[in-house]
Amino acid sequence: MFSIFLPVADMSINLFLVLGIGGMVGFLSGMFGVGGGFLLTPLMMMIGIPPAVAAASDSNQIVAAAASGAMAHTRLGNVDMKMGLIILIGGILGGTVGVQVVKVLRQLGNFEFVVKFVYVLMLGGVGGAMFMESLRTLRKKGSAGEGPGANTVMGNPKFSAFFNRLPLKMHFKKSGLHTSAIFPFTIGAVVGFLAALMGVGGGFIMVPAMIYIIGMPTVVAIGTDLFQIVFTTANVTLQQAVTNHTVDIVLALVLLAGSAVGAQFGARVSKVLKGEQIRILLSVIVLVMMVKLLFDLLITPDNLVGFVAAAGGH
Amino acid sequence: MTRKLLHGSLAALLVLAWASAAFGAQSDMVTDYSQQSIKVDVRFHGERIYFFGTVPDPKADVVVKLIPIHSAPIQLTRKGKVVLFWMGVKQFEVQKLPFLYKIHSSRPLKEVLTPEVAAKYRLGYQTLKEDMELKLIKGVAASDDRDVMFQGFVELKEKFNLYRVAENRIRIRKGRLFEHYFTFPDKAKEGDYLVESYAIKDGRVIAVSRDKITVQKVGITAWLYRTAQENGLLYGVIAVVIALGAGLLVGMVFKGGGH
Repeated sequence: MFSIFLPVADMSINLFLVLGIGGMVGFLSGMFGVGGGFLLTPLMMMIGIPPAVAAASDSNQIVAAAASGAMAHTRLGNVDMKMGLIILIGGILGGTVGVQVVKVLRQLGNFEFVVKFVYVLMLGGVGGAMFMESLRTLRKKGSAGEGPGANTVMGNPKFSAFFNRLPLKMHFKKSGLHTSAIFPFTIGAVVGFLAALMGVGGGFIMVPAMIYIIGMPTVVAIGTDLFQIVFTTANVTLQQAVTNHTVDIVLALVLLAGSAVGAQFGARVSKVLKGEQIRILLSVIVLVMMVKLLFDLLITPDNLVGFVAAAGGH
Repeated sequence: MTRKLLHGSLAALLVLAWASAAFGAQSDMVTDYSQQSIKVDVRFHGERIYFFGTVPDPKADVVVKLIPIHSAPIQLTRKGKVVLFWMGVKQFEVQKLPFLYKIHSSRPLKEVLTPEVAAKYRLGYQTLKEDMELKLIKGVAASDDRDVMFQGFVELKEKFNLYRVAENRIRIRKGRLFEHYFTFPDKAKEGDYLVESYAIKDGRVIAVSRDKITVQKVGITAWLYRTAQENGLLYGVIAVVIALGAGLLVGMVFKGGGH
C-alpha cells in the first residue's frame, strides 16, 4: 500500500493521490502562471482532508512554491519594496484577523460552509470575468484582425484619478507611481484575509488589481506580488499553527513535490498555446470547480450530522 | 513470522482448551492476541490484530466488544436548509459515546443476547443510544434530534470504520476455540483499548475475558503530532523554515521554479 500518514490531519491517505493532485495543480500553474492555491484547497477537501487542515497546509505549501520565484524577482529588481511593504502590512493584518475568524467559524461548526460559499463567489467572479474577457479578445481578433495587443492599458484613468485624491500619497519609484498608500494596504489586507480563510496566495486578485487599477508595470506587479505572498503566507502558516493547530507539513511537502514536477510540464505546454486559449481554458477549469462547490451547498447532504472542531485544539 | 507465532499460540490454546474441558474448568476463558500494541508511523494506514481464545462450553457463543478506555466529549452539528443552502443550524455537546465501538459475534446478536445481557454489558448500538447524553448548545430543539443525531453520528463513524457491529464474524473451531480479528483504522486515536470477550450460553454470560491493546504514535509522526498540538509556535516556525528551504531547493533543481 502506497499510503502516507498525515500527522496533523491524523489520517492516512494514498500518497499517489496527493502527489497526483499536486502535480495536476502544478501543471496548471506552470501553464497559466498562477499559483493554483484556489484549486488545491477544494481538491484536498474532496479527498477527505478536513477543510481547516486543507487551507492551512496549502498556505504552508504556497510559502515553498513562491519562495524561489520571489527570490529570482528580487534579484532581477522586479520588486517594488516600498509598495511590497505597504501591501505586506495589510497582508499581515488581514491574515492575522483571518486566522481568528477561522477559529470562530470552526467552533460554530460552519467553517466548511463559509469556505465553500466564499470559494463559489470568488471562483465565480474571477472565472466569469476571465471567460468574458478572453472571449471578447478572441472575437475581436477574428473580426478585425488586430495585431498583437501591444498597447496594454496602463491603469484605469478613472481609478488612478480617484486614488490620486486620497490622502497618504506616496511616491513609488520602482513602479513609477505617485499614489495613495490606502489602496495597496487595503488590497493587501483583503488578500491576507482570503489567504487565511481559503489557503490561497491571492495572486489572481492582487496582480490584476495592481496592473489595471493603479497601473503598476506588469513585471513589477508580479514580482511584488510574489514577494508579499511569501511573507503573507508565512505569517498565515505561523498563526494557523499557533491558533488552530491545522498545518500539516507532511501534506504540504507532498503537495510541493507533486506541483514542482507538474509545473515543469505545464510551462512547456504553455509555449505551444496562445494567450487567449490559455486564459479561456483556465476560466473553464475555475468555473467547473465553482459549479461543483455550489452543488455541494445546494444538494441535500447524505448525512445531516457533522463533527465540530473541539474548542482549544483536539 | 507473525503467522507462525499465531499458529503456535493457537496450538497451545487448543491444548489448553482440551485440558480445561477435560478437567471441567467450565467458566474459564483464556484469550490472546497477535500483538499487544499498534505503532502509528509514517506508513500507518490501519492495522489488524488477531484475537483468539478458548470457549468454556461447546454450546456457548462468543461476543467481543472493542472500545477505547477513555473517550472525550465531542460536539456535533445538525445541518438544515437556510434559504437555498445547507449549513449547520444546531450544535450539540455529546457525552458518553465511545470514540470507537466494535462488536463481533459468532452468531446474530439477537439470537445470542437477551435484552438483559445486552443492557448489562452494553452490547449493541441500542445501548449506546441509551447512554448518549445530548445537550443542545445552539439552535432550537426538535423532537427528532436524538434519533437524527445518533443515526448520523453512527453513519459518520461507520464511514471511517470506527464503529462496526459484525455478526457471524467470529469462527469457533470444534466448539472450543474462537478466533477473529479487529481492524484498527487509520483514524484510531492513540491510547488504550479494551477488548472484552464474553462466552454466552442460554442467554447467560458464563465467562468474560479482558485484554488491553495500546495504540501509540511513534517516530517523526509522534513528534510532529505532539509539537503541533502542544507547541504551535515552534511547529509553525519549523513549518515555515522547512517550506522556505524546500521551495528554494526545488527552485534550484528546476532553475527558476514553477513561477
